[in-house]
Amino acid sequence: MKIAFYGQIERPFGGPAEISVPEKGVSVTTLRRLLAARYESEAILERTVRAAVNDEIVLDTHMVYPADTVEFMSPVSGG
Amino acid sequence: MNDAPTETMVRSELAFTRIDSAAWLQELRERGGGHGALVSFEGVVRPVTKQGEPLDRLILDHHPRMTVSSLERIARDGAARFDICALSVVHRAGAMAPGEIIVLVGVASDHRRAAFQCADYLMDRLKTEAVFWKREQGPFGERWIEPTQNDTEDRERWNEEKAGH
Repeated sequence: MKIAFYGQIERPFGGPAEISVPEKGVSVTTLRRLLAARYESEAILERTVRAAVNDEIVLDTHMVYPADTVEFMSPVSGG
Repeated sequence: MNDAPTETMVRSELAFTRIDSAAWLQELRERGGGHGALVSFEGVVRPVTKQGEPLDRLILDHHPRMTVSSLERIARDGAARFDICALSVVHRAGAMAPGEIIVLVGVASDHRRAAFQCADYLMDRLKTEAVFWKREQGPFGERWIEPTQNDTEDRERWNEEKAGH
């Protein structure tokens, strides 16, 4: 699964991240922990960084499956 | 108040090149048909940062789908909330130099009050809710910009007011 980042949170990853997600899915919380371990950065654990799945902002309890489009974003700065 | 804004009332766009405000406002004049007032606002890149340092570039990162949706939603809400004839919202993304227009809002209405208030409302929503991530570059390097407390307070005014009805 390719994961995109928007705003300041992109920095620790240096671009989109690649990570494997099991068919049975993982929660957003687990996905954050997997990313933090793989990229050795705890920035993704910040609660102000929101997760979007298929263009909808979701809670950390939301389950993510391999076919989903997953993105993490820093708080928007507005226009 | 317009309960159901029509397609022709509202126009919003995400722009990747310079905004031609004269062309946008002319299009709004024609689309607004029969209006008695037209209010416009341009947000422009300042030549210095809030810290007083010279600014080379302002960069607005955007989301490939959610940014356009946010502009559409804000524009539609403005048209539904105020008694107006037509409005336009056009917002830049990408890198901009000082002096370039970041955002243009135009509102045509029968009377001036609704147009002023709708433009004010649109800008307060855009400043806090439009899906962008801003950074500035200059001799200081690069830094991210967050919304200010003032921006948030300006936005919250509209939670209580029923202006323009």
